[in-house]
Amino acid sequence: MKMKIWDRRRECARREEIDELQRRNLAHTLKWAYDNVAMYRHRMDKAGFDPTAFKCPDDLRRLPFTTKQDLRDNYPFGLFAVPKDKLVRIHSSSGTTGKPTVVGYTRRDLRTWSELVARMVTAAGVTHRDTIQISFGYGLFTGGFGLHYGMERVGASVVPVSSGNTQRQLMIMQDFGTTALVSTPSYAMYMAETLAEAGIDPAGLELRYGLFGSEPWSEEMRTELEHKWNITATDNYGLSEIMGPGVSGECLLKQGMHLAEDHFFFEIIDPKTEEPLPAGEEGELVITTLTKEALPVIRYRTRDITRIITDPCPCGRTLYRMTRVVGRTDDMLIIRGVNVFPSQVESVLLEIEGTQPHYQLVVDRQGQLDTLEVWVEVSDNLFFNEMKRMHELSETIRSRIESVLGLNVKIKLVEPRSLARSEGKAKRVLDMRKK
Amino acid sequence: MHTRELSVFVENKAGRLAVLTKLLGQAGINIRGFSVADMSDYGIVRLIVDKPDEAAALLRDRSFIVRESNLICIRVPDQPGGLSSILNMLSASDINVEYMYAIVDTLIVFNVENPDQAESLLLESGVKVVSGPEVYSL
Repeated sequence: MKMKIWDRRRECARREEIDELQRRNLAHTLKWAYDNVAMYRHRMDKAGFDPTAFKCPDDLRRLPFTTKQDLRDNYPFGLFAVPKDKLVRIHSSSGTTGKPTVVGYTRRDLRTWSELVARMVTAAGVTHRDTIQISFGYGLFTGGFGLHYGMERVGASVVPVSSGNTQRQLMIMQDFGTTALVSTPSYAMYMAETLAEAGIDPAGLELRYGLFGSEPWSEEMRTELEHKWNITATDNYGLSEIMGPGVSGECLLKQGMHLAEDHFFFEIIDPKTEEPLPAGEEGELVITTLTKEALPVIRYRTRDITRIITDPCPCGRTLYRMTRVVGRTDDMLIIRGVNVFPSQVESVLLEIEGTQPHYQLVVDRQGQLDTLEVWVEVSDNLFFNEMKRMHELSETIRSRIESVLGLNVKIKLVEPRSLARSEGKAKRVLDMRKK
Repeated sequence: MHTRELSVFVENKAGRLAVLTKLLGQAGINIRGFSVADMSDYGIVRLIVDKPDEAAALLRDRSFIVRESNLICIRVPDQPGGLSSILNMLSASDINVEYMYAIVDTLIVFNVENPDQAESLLLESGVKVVSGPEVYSL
């Protein structure tokens, strides 16, 4: 398979070049943050850290982490390193769980962002000949605009549909001849259902690629989406606090997401001890920006659980890869002392033929004991008129989930469409235990 | 001719059966017989209605999950040992009954492994088998 590479010089650079670039830019960023952001100056002073004496990435370990709370505490512009007149874009989180976090970009930051998204979408198969339907929400969320400008940079025809109005999405897809869809995986699944209900044959669409991101999903869900839409689906990763989409993305070999190591420095830590883990171990991803002007971020705790792959990728890119995010430390449920990620349950459900990944984990506590119920919507393939076969079905689901999680679970089959649907990120967990 | 049965998945929560029956009633569909098999969280509602095609389409349209099956409807002799004689005939031919329930009168619908074989067997033995259309219009 001949695959295009957007920026061969950077994406296929020798390791020593990347290391040297990272070291140089880390030194610059630390100095930049010290000189321009009060919080970082205080923290470095307190740690006795002299940014001008920075030698190698290991020195970073002496600095504390930056968290989402730090961004909230400095709402709105407290962590910005440039005066407001240098900003050309401001994005923000929704703030549903507290004060929103606000992020800003200089002209150069936006150029870098578009460049990295262009790199990512090229790796995912997109060229200037494609017609792109962006079904991420536009607005304050970085997903829509991030993909938008990166796609334009590549020269593709961008249709900025935004999320929602599924019927219209499908109409545009058919009439405009969309060749690549950008959305969350759960919304792509929901659209696929609507497609099937409308009796539209995906083979008749021009759609070839799906670029899915902004929430954790599983390999089984990829298989399902590829089958339902008759496309190649790739995963990509990003977060607004760092930049937005474009931090990493899969190439068509689909074996991990290539990291933009020339613009970010990545560490993996143990989320409990906060100690860095050796290469290849699974833990929480921590990111330091290397070139950001408006909002340099040092050792940001992403809460995302992943692993870094240092083996070279057969596609020719030398940038290291990260595996798909298995979950978030804040999505991670601890049930009777066992770590549970919703994605584990999803994998099991998709393995059982006919099961739609419409499910919810309901955690509660009876007396001193945590209970886990998995609610699964029945479907045509998942309903039998004989009670014993229904019972067998519940039992199959139960025993497979139990063997994966190592926990007793109760399966509750519920009516189709009774679990909440979302056009953005899916709500997979209902935790009713008292905090 | 077999009798069509619709099996519907219904969650065990207040008002679901009422919604189901109201839908059918409003569409002018008459329920000729039914049975409910229930687990703690959900039940399977089995329906014999006069217009099975319409009913199935209507329920599916309202997001119910519906499965259709062919059952045989038998007029069981209304006397001691009546049901027993029918069941003996089936078991003697190794036909397994998945489930059965009485509908109007002494009519009982049977979900058996092989409805065709069961039907001819019973007919040969002089048992009255009632056709679907006949059931719907009783």
